Amino acid sequence: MVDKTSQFLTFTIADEHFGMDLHQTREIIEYAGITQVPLMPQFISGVINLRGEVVPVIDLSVRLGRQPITIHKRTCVIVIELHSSEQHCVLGLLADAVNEVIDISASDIEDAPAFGAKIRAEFIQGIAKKDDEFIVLLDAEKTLSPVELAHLVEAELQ
Amino acid sequence: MSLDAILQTFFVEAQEHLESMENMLLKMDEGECDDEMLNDIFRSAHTIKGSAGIFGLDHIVNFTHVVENVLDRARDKEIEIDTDLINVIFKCRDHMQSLVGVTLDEFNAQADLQKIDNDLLTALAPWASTENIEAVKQTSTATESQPENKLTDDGGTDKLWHISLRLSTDCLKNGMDPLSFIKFLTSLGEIKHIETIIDNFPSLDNFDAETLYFAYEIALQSDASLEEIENTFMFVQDDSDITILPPSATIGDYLALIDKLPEENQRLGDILVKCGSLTRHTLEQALASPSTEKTVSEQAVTDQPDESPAEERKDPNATINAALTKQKQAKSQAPEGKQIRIDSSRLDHLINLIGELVINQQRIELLSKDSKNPQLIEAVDDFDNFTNQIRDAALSLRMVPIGGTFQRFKRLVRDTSQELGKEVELIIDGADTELDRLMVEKLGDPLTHIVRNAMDHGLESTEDRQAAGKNIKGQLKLSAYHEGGHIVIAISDDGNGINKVRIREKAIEKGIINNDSQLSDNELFHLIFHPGFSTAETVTNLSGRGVGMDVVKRNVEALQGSIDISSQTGLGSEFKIRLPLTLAIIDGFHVEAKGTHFIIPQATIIECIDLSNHQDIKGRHCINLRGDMIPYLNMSEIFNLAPSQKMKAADHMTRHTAKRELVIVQFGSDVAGIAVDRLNGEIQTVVKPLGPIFKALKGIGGSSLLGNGEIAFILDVPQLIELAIANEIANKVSCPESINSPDK
Repeated sequence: MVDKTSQFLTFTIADEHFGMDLHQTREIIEYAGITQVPLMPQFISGVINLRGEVVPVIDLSVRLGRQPITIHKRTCVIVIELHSSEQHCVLGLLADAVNEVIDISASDIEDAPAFGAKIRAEFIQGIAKKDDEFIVLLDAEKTLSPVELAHLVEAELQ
Repeated sequence: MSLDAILQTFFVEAQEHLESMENMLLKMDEGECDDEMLNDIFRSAHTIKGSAGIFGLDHIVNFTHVVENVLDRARDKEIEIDTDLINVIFKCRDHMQSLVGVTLDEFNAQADLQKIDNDLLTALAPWASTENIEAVKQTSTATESQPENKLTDDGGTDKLWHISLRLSTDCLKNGMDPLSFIKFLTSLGEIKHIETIIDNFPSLDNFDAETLYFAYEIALQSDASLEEIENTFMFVQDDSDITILPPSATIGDYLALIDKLPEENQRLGDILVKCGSLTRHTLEQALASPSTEKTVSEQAVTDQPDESPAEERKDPNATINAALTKQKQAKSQAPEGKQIRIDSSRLDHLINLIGELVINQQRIELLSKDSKNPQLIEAVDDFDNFTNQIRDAALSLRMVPIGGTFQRFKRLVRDTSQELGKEVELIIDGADTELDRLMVEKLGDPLTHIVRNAMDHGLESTEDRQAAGKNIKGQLKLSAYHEGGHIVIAISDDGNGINKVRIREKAIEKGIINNDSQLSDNELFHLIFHPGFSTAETVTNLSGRGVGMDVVKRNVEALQGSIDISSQTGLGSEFKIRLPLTLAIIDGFHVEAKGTHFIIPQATIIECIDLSNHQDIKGRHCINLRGDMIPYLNMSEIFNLAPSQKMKAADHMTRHTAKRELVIVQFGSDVAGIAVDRLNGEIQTVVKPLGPIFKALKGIGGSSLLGNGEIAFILDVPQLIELAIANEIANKVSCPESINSPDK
């Protein structure tokens, strides 16, 4: 990696800190209810109406192999935009809290440990350390690849 | 316009000409043959050649030239039109289509294309004139002239045109090199003289290399028609000032030209004289008395006999002028018509906006009802009315008749029947039935597969038909019609029908069904949509590989449609594709189950009844509705719906009054009920696709926003019934016949 800084949006789910490339995030909205989609696996919380656009919302916590997120007053939805090879895809992610946008220089990002993170290694872009806390930088393209999500849904329905 | 955009126009137009050629050829193939058709084919080929020439697409020009030459001979009755010739021209047309698709460099690099080129040229040879190529060119140019011009044609090739070119100054920026036009003119005839007018050339400080400062006055000796010469400048005529004076032009025309051009009259006159378009004498007389509307004939009488031949050609001839005007009119009528071409993405954008409008309109309607202000409600009602009209009008913009798609099958049927050695008659019915453009585009492939299959497997060989006492000519019918909010496209043949025994054997052999499976006819027929299924004894290059029919089903389903097969042994089979009218905005019926909102497409609904008034038959999910047994499915069961928090609270209060409603839906020949908790009434809804993640979700075709911003799911009724059947089979519920729809 070239030594340059990138901006990350950091957020918290169940006291764990995550970061995501700022370029992939579009906006943060307040959680105001969600429409559940019938027969969906747990990691798909449902859909929301984002100014006339129907956007699927993912429970990132389930996707990363943890317990489902508990909805509370401060829960919010991070809207991200993925530009995969086929088409652009807008998704919402549930988070307990959104913290800040931080600059992290490439040299401060360490590779994901081969094990121990309890998250599939390919989902992790790297680990950054800030104020004695570890921030797991997620690779949104891999974690939320529409193709893979669709496969998971298909598997659930069978 | 960039060069790419202009090239694009060329491709689109070439495509249209090729299609029109194909249609004409098909008609000729059916035995209708008149001069007008030949003319049309010739014109198409000629225009393609002409336009290709402008872009320097020499591979197209060279090939098309020979085709055009043959066509021209046919037009002049020098050669007979027979099936062999039509076949060759069909192939040439196809080859032209491939040529249009490649650049010159690609052509030179592709040996197979060049081979086809050569083969076809050889094939054309018997009809082409036997003289050498130069002579061929001569014949072609000589005969290209329109008959009306021949009236005056005493000097043969001596016809001198005058072309005044004042190209747009941006011409070069647009990628048009005036030299290429001039070069192309040489293919129409001989350029006798060119005067370049450099009056506009600026001082070097102001010089811009990309601006065209030159104007040209050209004398062209050619037998080409006005149209052909005009076509040379087709791509620049919009913003340029181009005057083409035919050999028959009167002195008046020239004076008009001189007046029109910005340069000094005397100087222009000199140029025209230099070009040989006018004689000095005529010019002087004319300029001296500019108001005199003297025709050249009067001039000619007074002129000395040593005048250039140009003079004699300017015989005033009322008929010629009339003919020319007529020709011009005919030309301007044809392409303009009453249609405009719109980029489809703009249309989609409009439809999207109207979708938003519809949603907002619903929100306002909701608010107005809450306000209980009668005037407001009335105003909103009017608004509602107009919104509906706008919606319908906008949607109709996307509707195109299916005829164009059907037309393409004429060719397919013709070629396939020759290949198979079967005689097939194609009947087209309901060609003006309109459907969404998106659907028309996506229907091409499935229809092709079905038509090919019908011809290959459905229709018997000529001998078999004769033995069965049928008309030797097999019949294939393509029809389209409306049926209960859907569009049905039916492909039927009068062949042998689908061999049920054979399908069964094959399915067992492939392990798709068990030896003892009981299947209805419909279920049996649907086995042919199974991937990798083919009953054909031999694999031909048309069909029989077992790919295709599963693609057909998938494509049709992707359009929210369904496909039905019926077949009678010995009498033929019919494939019916049922499609929704449009994909963007639908009329729906809003229902609720356990707090989740659903929309059932209005077109599928027959009626709504109160379920609590009906008893289930013997504990099954079936009711007796006026003597008919109607199976029904429970929305909350099939979608595993749990009441939301909000619902739980509400439910608690209304528990005792909760009643169940049943919506009776019909799809194809199947009738079923959908049990829901609440009916909320009719609603116009904009279909929002749920996105790729939810592709595997059956029974829900999309989503939609309600007036209050909540999201509702649009039910896909056939899929929903299919899902119910799958669930029952999985659960081994002991009443397999309770859902009265074997195939859905």
